Amino acid sequence: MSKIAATASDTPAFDLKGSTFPMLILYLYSTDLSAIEQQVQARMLSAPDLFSYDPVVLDMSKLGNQQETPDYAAIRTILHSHKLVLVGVANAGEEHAEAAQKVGLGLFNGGVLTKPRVAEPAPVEEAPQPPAEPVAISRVARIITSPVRTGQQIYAKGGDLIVLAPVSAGAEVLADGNIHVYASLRGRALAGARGDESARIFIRSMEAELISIAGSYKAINEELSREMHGKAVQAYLVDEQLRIEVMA
Amino acid sequence: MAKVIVVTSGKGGVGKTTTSASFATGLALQGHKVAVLDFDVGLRNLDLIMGCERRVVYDFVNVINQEATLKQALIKDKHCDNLYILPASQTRDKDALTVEGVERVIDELKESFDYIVCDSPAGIEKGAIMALYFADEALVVTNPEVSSVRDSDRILGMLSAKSRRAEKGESPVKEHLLVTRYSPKRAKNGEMLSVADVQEILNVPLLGVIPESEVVLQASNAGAPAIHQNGSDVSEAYGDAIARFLGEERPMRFTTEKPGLLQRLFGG
Repeated sequence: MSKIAATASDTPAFDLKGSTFPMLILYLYSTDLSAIEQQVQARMLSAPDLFSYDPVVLDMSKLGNQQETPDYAAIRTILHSHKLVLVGVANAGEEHAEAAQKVGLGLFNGGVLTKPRVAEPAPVEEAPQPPAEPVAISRVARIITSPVRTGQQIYAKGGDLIVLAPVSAGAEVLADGNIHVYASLRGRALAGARGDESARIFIRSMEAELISIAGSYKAINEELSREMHGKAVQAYLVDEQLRIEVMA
Repeated sequence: MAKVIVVTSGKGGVGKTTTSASFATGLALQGHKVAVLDFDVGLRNLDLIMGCERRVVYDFVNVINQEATLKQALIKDKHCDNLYILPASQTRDKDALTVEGVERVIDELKESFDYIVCDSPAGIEKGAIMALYFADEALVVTNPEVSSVRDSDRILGMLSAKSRRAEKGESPVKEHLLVTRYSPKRAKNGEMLSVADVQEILNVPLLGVIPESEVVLQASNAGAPAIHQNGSDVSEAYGDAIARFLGEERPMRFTTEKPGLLQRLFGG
């Protein structure tokens, strides 16, 4: 008893809380290490600085349980050399899960992770290959409550960006997902920054200099500006064409 | 607890030094102990506006380099007993300002002053960053004109990203907007942005509006801050801004055209 009381009166050494973080998912189609290494390398060549030791989860759902258990430790090393940190596996069968636990990986189960959404880093793709490692983005929004000033750049990596204050002329807001601006947008907005063509931009008061989704952009010329100035608009892609429309 | 106030704008020639001089003087006239620092190393204007250029022996950079004590370098204002000026050096450049050096000077000033007013140079380079780095509050001086507003916006971004408060994750620098060289008539005719336009773009609480006036030029040539020109619009406007800064509520003046003589006579 006295022991417990003594511990309880001490200052706590930690807090354990639940939370949600955006995380990359790597869908594994093969357990062939050399193929994985080669293709990861090829993928990273086009965007060497894309990652900075971001956590990544290995999704086994595309693999099936009949295949041999992947060498998790080796995959972890390969990913780490490309600035990705393997933190766990998802949708693994019993055998695969057990092996993962043995090398100290976490288990994500129950299909809570998003469906694969392929983010193509650049149009320079080599000859069509068997689908290698689609990188999915699970979306957690970043919320900005103070004005985004001239010369500032805000990037919501791996998710949506929600801005509750004006974005000044000469400022830039970027997101891998959607962008919402519940105030005036006077600068630039670039959604789907890593190639997600389903991303959209929503603006309370349209005064933007430039709008872009997945690399398709429109500089806002005088005609466009006259039509939409100060109105609530949304922008999205239709057949790779950027469409901006006034919302009722 | 001493407060560090930076007077900044991004753009040059909008009235930072005029404002620093009048604001510091106004605070001193209210009975506060005030030091006003010229961060424009290499150009040195504040001492001219304050009319103490002939009394500069040691300067800010001498104090930073420990070639002189703060006491030796501070110049007592000729009008107010509790106002002191720390002039900039004219023979050095902005690289002479180091974070450690400026911090030491500001910390020492905090021991004996209520307000430390930092007159920032134009631009967004080292001098301007040093001037705003230690600020608790910022007076953003803006002319009703698009390039000035754009530059003020940029400097507001710097305040929220590059100040010590931002770097340490403390409560942000308190921002105040001061629209200077304002002419209600020209704003009405669309030759200038209106105060409302400026405020909408910058989204910062308005501390005051200083009207465009010949008094400012006369005052700087005479080496006495414009706030001493009793009865002038500029002096009144600075007085209002200082009162608001100190927590008093005052209606905004000088934002609309003055009624002409005939209008006044006939109540038009």
